[in-house]
Amino acid sequence: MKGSELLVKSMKREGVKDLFGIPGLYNMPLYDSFIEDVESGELRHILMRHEQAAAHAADGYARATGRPGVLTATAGPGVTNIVTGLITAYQDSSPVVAITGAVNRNAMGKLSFQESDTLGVSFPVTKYAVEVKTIEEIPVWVKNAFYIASTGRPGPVVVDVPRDVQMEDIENVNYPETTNLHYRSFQTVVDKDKVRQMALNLMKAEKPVLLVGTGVVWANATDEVLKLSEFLGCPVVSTLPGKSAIPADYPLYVGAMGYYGRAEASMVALESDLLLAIGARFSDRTFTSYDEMKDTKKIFMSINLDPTDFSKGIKPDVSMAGNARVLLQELLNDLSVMGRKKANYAWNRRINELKDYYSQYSHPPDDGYMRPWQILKALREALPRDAIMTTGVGQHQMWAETHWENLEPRSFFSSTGMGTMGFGLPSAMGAKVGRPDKVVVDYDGDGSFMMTGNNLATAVDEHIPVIAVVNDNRTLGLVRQVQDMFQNKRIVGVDYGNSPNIMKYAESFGADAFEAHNYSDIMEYVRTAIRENVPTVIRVPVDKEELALPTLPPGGKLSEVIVSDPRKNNKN
Amino acid sequence: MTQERIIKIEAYYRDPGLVERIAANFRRFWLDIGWMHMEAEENGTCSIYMSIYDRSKLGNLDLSIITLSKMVDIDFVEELEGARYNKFEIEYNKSKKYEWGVVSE
Ligand SMILES: Cc1ncc(C[n+]2csc(CCOP(=O)(O)OP(=O)(O)O)c2C)c(N)n1
Ligand SMILES: [Mg+2]
Repeated sequence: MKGSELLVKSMKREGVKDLFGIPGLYNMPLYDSFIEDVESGELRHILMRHEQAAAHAADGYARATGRPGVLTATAGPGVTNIVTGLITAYQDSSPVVAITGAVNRNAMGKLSFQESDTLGVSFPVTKYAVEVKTIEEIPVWVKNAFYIASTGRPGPVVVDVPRDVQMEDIENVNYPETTNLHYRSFQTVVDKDKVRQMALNLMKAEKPVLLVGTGVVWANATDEVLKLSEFLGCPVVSTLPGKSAIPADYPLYVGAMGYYGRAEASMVALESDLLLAIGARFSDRTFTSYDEMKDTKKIFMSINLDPTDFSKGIKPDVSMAGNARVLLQELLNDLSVMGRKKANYAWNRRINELKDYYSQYSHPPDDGYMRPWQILKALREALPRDAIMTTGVGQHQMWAETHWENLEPRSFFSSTGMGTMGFGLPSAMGAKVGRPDKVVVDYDGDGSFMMTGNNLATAVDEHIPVIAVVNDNRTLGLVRQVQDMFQNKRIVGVDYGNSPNIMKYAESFGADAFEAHNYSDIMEYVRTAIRENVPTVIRVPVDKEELALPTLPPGGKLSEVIVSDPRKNNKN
Repeated sequence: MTQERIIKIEAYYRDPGLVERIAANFRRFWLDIGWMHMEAEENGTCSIYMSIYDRSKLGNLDLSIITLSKMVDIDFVEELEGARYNKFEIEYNKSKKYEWGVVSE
């Protein structure tokens, strides 16, 4: 058997069914070895138009299915093109496996054609990267790679296979039953004393809040979080990616907090006397100032898989390392024997006050242009409950953060740690390949969309019917907003001219294209797109002067939140 | 160099990428390496002793060590208290010099 065949067989043993990629000299043996699988339908290869998009697609696939997404790229430019996609998956803890081809072993280090130092460029952007040095190593390293990617804090792994290793022959193949690694996924330690301490603190607290992060998504702990919140009658806030864990219509959910989060959510976090973080690190996007948080003198508690997060930013008063679901079950058991918590009427009243107060700012009326909150409301009405939304990066992403109501776990994906423009469309495509049963929408900005929009060609060719809703404000809106608000209106290098015509651009790929003039257009075109089941682009013109609010001044504290347009005298 | 730590790393050596990743871990935290001693065996068993210190005064020593401890191929990291480094000695007869691509005896 050839090495490349062994590679395919090993991948299939890991359950791989879909693969995003672009072939080149050094991963061509792999392609040659999966022709029959593609023909028989055992494997699906999706030919992307740029390797970055292949990595985002694998990432979207992983976030939507919970299983590693797989991509392949050739040495040199293929490998360097995936770097952005890998670091995006790394920052957001998404399991991705990249199988890359490398130059022949004897060509390495000699500036040979398309030679990239693949490990060198991959180490800083992945959880792990490995060179497969002999044909015998192929099965174990494929197994190891999937294990590393999908356990502990999930993340991307690169398996680099020299072309000559793929071309070699092997007679006796040993598929390993287990991994062979010096690696541990994090442990879950149930410390009864700490469980009790957390339970007692929660019972005693007058103004408790739960802060939910990505860890809840990966531990499938949504039910446990909701049970805990219900039991305590306490509010839930989330990080931006943690939005994906909590149904927006859960009555005690206040929203995503942080830099561009909902002001009421940030205020609830600030005013609380106890904050229990679950699967959320205290990132600088969520807690923009650690001093501000420490000054509240609240009790910080944390349940988090990765114990090293306890030593960053804020050290929790009580912490438990491990799987959120397991630990929350322990906590719920312990609480249940303590009896009902007495209701915190004052706290609940305060939360409602905050919600009411900020709501007048977050829902401004139309003033000639469509307003993003209404655009998202129209989308919510037209889309099924379990629809998946991905985003680009910019104002539109922040509007999705505050106004998109995702109603099921694993249905909102955004590049939150890396802030990678161009994530939206390809990650939506990956999500759709992984979950063909779901409607998948990319809520995008014109700038972000143009970074990977060429992959519409793939969506059309491969029949991946995603819907891209492009907020076309003819500008890099979020950067423009910072210049406008905080740099004395010195607006530079952000506004686009008339090119391209997004409708014609979309049509040129064979996608359906619609231009929405009002909210009912949006709903109608979304419904048409779902019915027609073809890749669709809906252009939604948005005012370039529109601001993504709430926001903070650069380096600002959550309490410095700006909720209304300072350029206008009235509230909105 | 008051802000110095001497550590021992038990790891699995597959190729020099191990050293690269360890060095990168400290570089990212703006820490410096004072000295390093590594011994790797044929089967991959590997011990590395090194001194790291905080010239930047960013206070990242603890975080850098705990972060290193969760890197693939690292079994554990130990912080050695009261460790003293006895200067490394090497004996040789003759040398060959490589200087910017030019070799001289
Ligand atoms: C690849 C990349 N380059 C640059 C940036 C910096 N950046 C952040 S938001 C933004 C503007 C995005 O514009 P668009 O996608 O049109 O979204 P809008 O803000 O207009 O909604 C830019 C340039 C980034 N996040 N990613
Ligand atoms: Mg824009």
